[in-house]
Amino acid sequence: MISLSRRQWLQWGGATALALSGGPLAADESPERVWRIFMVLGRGEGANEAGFKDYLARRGMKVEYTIRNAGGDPGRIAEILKEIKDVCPDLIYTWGTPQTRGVAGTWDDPRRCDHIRDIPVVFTFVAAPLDARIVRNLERPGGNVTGTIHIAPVEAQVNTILAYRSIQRLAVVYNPAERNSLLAVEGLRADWNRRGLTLIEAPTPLTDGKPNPDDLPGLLASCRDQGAEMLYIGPDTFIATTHRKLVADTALELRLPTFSVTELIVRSERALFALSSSSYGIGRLTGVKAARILLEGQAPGDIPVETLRRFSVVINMATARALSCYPPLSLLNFAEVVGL
Amino acid sequence: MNRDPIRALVFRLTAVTVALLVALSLLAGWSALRSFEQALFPELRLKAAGVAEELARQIDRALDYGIPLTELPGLTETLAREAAEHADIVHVAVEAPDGRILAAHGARPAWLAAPDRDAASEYDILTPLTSGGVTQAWLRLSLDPGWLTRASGDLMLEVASELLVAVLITFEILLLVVHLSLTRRPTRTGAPRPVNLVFLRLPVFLFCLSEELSRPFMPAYAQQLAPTAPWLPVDLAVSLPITLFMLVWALSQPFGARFSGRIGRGHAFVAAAGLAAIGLTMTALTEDLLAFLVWRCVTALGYGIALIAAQGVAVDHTTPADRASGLALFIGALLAAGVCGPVAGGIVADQAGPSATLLVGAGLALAAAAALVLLFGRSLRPVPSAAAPSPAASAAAAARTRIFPRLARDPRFAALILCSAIPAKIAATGILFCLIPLMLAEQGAAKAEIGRIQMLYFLAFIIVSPLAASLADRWRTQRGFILVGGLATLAGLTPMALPDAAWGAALAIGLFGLAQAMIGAPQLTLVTRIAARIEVPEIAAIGWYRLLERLGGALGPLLAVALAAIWSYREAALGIGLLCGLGALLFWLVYRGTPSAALSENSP
Repeated sequence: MISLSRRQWLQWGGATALALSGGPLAADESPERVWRIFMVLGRGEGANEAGFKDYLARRGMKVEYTIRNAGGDPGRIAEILKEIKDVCPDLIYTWGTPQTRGVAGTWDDPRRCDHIRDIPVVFTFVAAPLDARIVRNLERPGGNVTGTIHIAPVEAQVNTILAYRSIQRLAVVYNPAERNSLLAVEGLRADWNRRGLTLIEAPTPLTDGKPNPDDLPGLLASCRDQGAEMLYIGPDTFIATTHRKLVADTALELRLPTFSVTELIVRSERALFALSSSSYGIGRLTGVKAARILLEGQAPGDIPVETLRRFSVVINMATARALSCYPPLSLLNFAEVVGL
Repeated sequence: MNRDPIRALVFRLTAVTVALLVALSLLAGWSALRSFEQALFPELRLKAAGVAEELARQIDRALDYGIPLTELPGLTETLAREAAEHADIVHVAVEAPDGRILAAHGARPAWLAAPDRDAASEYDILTPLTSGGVTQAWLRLSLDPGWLTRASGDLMLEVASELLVAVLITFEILLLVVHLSLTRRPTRTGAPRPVNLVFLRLPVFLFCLSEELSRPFMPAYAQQLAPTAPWLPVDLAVSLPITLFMLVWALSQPFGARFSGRIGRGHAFVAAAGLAAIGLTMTALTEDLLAFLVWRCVTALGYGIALIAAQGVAVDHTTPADRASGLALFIGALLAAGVCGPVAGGIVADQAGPSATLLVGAGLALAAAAALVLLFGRSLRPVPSAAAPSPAASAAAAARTRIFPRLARDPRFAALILCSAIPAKIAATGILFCLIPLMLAEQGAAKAEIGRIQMLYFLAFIIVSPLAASLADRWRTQRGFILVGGLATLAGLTPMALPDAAWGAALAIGLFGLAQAMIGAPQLTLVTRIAARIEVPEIAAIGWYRLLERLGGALGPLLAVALAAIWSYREAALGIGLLCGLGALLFWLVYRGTPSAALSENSP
């Protein structure tokens, strides 16, 4: 079994915790200044945005927020881009890989002028900004973009899965239309195969480039039939956010334990466990970066892309009881338990 | 040996005082040991209770979540991990209310009471595992009754070795104090008092101690510095400091003898001790391997000159008739330092670190110089009668160079050097100074423990050496003793292969010292015989013999570490033992047929 020490859990990330706890709290500018921040979200505000706004408020900043939801629709992004260019805000906050790529583009995109190049962009909830070509380098992203990563490194995810159960066959259900999902599965495949284990990949069928939720129950059942011992849910909006209830309930019916890299499906639905950073904490960290740009005048390209130092294991105990699939003591000792 | 009434009195006084000291210390040590056990046991229980409480808290949390203990994964692993962190806990188990064992790690000693909760033995700690105020199961922690015995055994060894050091140091000081007070009587004739060689012991003892302190950690210390010289293979980095030390020491002897004769033994000793103190100080301060090597060489130069100067004092102030007893005083101080140094050095290094120990050594070297000045005052000034004038010295040196070819052509001398003396020195420097500290340090032994084991060599040597010398002389079988000593070296080292390494190493080093003690004196006797046969001065023959022996000894660390790199520390030690055994056998065969009875036993 892969052993996993508490230290291993805690060593990821940089000086993030310091950045969150320290720093001057007084407003650095005149109290009259009202900052205009444009938020491009997927499906409305959540804990991420609450953390972001709370942090800036704590720094004494008066902010006027404009909030737009793209909902994964590329057509909406074009409209939003046009609006941004008209409004010309002080900073743009983007949630998720599609929105971030839609607003900031990729660094190697030949049609660079279509995207925002002159307004600072701070992204969050992007799983793999390097692979998605949003930034060239995490330490020095360059250009007008910086932000935060919300998921743990894949090695840590796999260690957590194997710490819970020493399994051989893991199934991953994902939406191949989402670039972040494809990248996440690629990373998972490399790590899982390196350990000599079997990965069962189940992409959702696409009709006109779009997945259909009605296919999900059949897809999960076929994973079960292929001998999957656990289900992996990546940073996939379609699976982990939009249809999370359907996925979690079907998996439970099939008696398939579910691991997720984001916590919502464990907290609000009945997926078994997650290794995640708190959305609120990630939002605050994103706020730190925005404040460095607006208050301290740093260039976004000089501010490293970071993730939180601390990830927590969240276990849904009601699901564990229903599956008779209990966490080992070593994992339970520092897990957050929900669903009592 | 001591017909002088003062000496007899000194001897008796010292014996009585030391006996008293030993008795009192044994009593104190024994009672300390008893109270150690009494005081330690409740502490052990208290600590185990803390461990149990922490474990129970974790398991209670799982119970509170409604996880049945029979379905809780990783329970045994958690128990095992906790037990592994505490050497004194032998058994941890979760037991159902009906006594059934749900998870367990480690075997409970059979002689403890049957696992009955109501009659929990004093070695058991039982903690209820509860959920919602209801006891669901019990956690049982069992202390290892053997652990306490082992711990007090270790402590006893420690106390015993420290006692030995204390007694030896007391002996040195007593000897000096008594002699000082007795020789203050005015001389009747008014003539200058002859130099009392007992006064030489303390400076020599202190000076040797300064170097012996670093025995337990020197190779491991060099190993730490190895990364600062990436161009040097690590094996070489470890052995080179000892090899260079031996080499510089050996080569400094002829020069040191002439130098100290010219400027006076006292001046030479003080200057050399100062040099050694500088060397030790800089060794302590440097963090670079190259500089470390240079300062070790400087220390070796000081060490070599100081010892040859001190030996010169002993030779200058004795007649050929009482030279042996004069040199015995000198060698006694060397061996006493050999016993005290590693133990004391190990303790200091464990508490304050190797650098601090080296600085203490530097202080001791200065103290040795100060002691010599205070005790001898002006009596060691170069005087024409005592110190050899330079023309004579150079004549002697010239004679030496002509002596060597004659010695080298003698097959017996060659056999003695090549088959017995050099292998023995290789074993001493390679195993005792190099392999033992490296091997034990790798096994996690404290430096004091390493020092204790190194001490056993010198202890065995002190005890056996005089006996072996007189028996070899009485039975007229030096050759036989050298053979038996060589084979005993091989046999004695075999316990190194025992699985319980600390005891195996201790036994091996004790036996090794014993075996080496058998051959030292017989070797010297044979050198004097050869010198007489081929008509070269005995002193020159011994000088050459010592020089060649030490040059060979310089190879010891190189050979030992090279063998260890190929095999392992244990096998390298056995390999060197084999070299000694085979060498001794070869020596016995080659030296065969020499008429030994035809030659005089003693030096002229």
